[in-house]
Amino acid sequence: MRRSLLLVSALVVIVVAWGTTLVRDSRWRKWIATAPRSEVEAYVTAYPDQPDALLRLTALLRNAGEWEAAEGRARHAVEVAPNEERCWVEYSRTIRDDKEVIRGLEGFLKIQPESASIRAEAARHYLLTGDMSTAQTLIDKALQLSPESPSAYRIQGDLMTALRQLPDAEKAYRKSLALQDDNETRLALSRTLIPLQRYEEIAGLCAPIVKAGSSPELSQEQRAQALIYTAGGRLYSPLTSQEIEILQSQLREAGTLSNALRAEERFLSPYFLGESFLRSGKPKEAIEPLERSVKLNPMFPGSLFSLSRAYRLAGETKKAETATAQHTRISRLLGELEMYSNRLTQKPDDAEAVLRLAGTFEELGNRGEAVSLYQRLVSQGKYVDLAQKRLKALSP
Amino acid sequence: MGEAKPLCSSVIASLAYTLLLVLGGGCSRTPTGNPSPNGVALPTVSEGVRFVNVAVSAGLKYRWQAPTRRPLTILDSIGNGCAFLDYNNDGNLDTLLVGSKLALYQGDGKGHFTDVTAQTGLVNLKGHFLGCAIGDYDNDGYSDLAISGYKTGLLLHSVGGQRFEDVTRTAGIQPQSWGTSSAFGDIDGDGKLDLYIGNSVRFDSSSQQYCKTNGVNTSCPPGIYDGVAGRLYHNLGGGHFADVTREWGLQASLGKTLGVAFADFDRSGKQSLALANDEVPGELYLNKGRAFTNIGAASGIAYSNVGQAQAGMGQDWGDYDNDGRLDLAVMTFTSELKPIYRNEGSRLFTDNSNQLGLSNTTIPYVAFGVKWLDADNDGWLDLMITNGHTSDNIADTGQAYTYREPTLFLKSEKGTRFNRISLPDLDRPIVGRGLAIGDYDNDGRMDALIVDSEGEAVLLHNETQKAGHWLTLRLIGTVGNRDGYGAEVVVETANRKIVRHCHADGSYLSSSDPRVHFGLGGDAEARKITIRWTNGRTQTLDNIKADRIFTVKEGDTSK
Repeated sequence: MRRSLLLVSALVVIVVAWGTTLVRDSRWRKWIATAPRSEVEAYVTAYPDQPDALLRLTALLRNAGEWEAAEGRARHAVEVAPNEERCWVEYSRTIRDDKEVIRGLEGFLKIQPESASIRAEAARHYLLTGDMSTAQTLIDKALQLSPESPSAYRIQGDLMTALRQLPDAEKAYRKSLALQDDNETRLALSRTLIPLQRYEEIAGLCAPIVKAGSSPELSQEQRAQALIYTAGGRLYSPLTSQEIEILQSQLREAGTLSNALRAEERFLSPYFLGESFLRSGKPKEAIEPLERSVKLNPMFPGSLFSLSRAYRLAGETKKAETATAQHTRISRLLGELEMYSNRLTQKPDDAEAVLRLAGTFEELGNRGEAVSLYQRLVSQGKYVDLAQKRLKALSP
Repeated sequence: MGEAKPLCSSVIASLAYTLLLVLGGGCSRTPTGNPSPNGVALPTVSEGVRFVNVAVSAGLKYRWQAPTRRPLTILDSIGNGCAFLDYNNDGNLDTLLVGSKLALYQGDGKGHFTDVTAQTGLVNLKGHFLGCAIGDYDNDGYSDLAISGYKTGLLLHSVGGQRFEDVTRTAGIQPQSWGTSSAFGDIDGDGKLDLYIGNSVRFDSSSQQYCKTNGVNTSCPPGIYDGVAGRLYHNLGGGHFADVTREWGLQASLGKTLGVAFADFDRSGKQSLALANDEVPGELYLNKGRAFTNIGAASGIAYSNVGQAQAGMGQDWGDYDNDGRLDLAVMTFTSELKPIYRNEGSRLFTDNSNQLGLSNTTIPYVAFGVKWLDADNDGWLDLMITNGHTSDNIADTGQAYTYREPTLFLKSEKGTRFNRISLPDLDRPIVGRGLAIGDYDNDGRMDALIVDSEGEAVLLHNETQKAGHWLTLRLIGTVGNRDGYGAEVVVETANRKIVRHCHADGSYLSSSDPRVHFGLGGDAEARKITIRWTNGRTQTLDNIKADRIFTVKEGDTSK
């Protein structure tokens, strides 16, 4: 009897303890998922090695565009919990130095080679460094390990986009979205649909992000992207003046968030804003954003082209002529890059194309590529005198 | 030959990323897939405008046969042109079909054609013929023919509207390496038509024939080859021409030219020249009197609206918004906008295709022929566009494109928007190339003649029931060139003022009815007609009744 009582008491204690833990854990999870930044910061100050809080703070800092602070927290999270996959995922999404991330993730994979999500993350960074074949291998393995991994499908979509296999990219993104709705995937799919001119679908994909308004739970980068893709896409349809005004206000908001964008996307909001002014017959207003866009991305021919038009329409002829000359040059050089690269892709032994491509790189100021191509000619015994002459001229 | 990677190498991946973010992408012929049906504006069912293919019943029995070797090369896929002309000067349009053999069909003005190829001496001409330009270069009252082609080129003089004689050599016209679209225009206002012949690329049997697309051999894009500049021939009179390409400043033209069209777009009284070039910037040669200056980049017509060179194909001048200034429509490759360059004045153009609602409708197609025409005579120019991919095996490359594509008729909503009209004979997919327009049955409704590179000639009879009033002017120059090419005609009615120009050129490898057609809507009379001939003289006619073809002789004001 006494033994039975003892057993029951012990069971009660265990259940109560277990229940208490569950409740506490549930409360903790709820709190950590929704707590405002100030509270999370206070918690991290008190408990600097608590991984959940570190990860949450990393995400909040990243959403706010405070990348350096976010990176510090992400690095600390993997230091305190080096065996936790989620810490490495957050680290991968936060650290902007691709090589550093690759080193870290490969270290983790040595310990846990079966981690599909870490393989997918590593693939993403290989892709960002331009190593598509390693990225492809990693993604294939990740999907083999976890055929229902949304992140693996998303990164497969990124890879297909980079390879310009847009229909395959779309399939991968849609599969990822079907498995798990996610803003990053929505935006990635939108980017893929831009060259396919499917603006209505883009607007649909971006709508939840645009409608959500500004929130610490939403990355500033993602909001800026959603606003830009939606507004930029609308410019390709007939618009009323009222619609142009709405679009301009979206682009202005995106402009305020531009620091959160990757450098190569920052020119977009001023570019589309300038375009919208041109569209509404206001070339003078178009000049300032277009000048800004040119500064942010001098290699994008569209901004220079539109700027030259804006100057011309505003009567600033001299500036227009300068901008036209700059645009013509950039456009020609980009055209040559594409043309000669294409020739080499189709016929790798086309020495004349190598020579011309080297010349284009020289004109673009890309000494490294030019030297490498001239050296290729010398090693192939083609245009040797000419190539050596150029190599001499390019030697430091 | 290696497997094709994406056309943009990893070296320029970051630039490509930038360009991918805006319309058109970075590489115009990179396989990027197809806009889904969701992305394509669905055509509206015709609410009045009606075209019916009557080629066979009208007596046009001509079939273009692409070479049996497959896949096709860039040369095989360029296609051919066609023309509406009045070779015997009987007031009825005839048709010229250009292929490896030429075919001329005499029209009776009632909708029937008779093959007169043999009796006009065209039957014996052989060559890799591609396109044509029509003009009375010796002002004898009969239309002469300039035939362009691959390693050929002919000038055929009309002998009294009965037969044609080959005067190429004596005239001083040289065969071109790959002559494409060509056009007659009076560049110096001397009353004699000069000739521009566009050239494509340097291509022969030693050139690379195929390129890989997703592992499949297809025709190569023009970027693989070097361009060849076109030639300008000045008409010296007496049946002689001189090559003045250099003297007139055209030697630096980039070549790869597929569209050629003269026009006095700036109302300077001089004929300027627009060239649509494939994958290199378009050119607009402003006529400065004794030479041309390329203002393509400064004017805004050289590039797409994102500042990139595009695959320029056919083109046509026309005032779509009735503001009195000539605008320019340029056709391009799939995934590219088909720009409608609105003439803003001051020699400045803006691509207005987005605002006109053309993006979704036209982007999926590889467009070649294009003509402005007022199909329902409502006073606003509509657009007709022929389409067809350049790779016959495009479907094998894993992309969603097809070789055969529909013909587009885009109805103008008073110059503010264009809506695609669906009709069975337009929607039937063909390998569309050349396109000419003209009123072959003289009923006041503009018809169309189309080349299907892998099929029979298409003759689209305009059977629009509720068409408006109309007026067609046949111009006869006496001091200026006899065809009146380049003259501006302004028709004023009670409710509208419409400006058109007299031209047969434009489109792709083709030549159209040179008569100047006006849709007048509900107005049954033109209160005033003003003709500004190419020599600058103006001529005015008052109170001209509508619904007729009216001949105007330069200097003669009798009705």
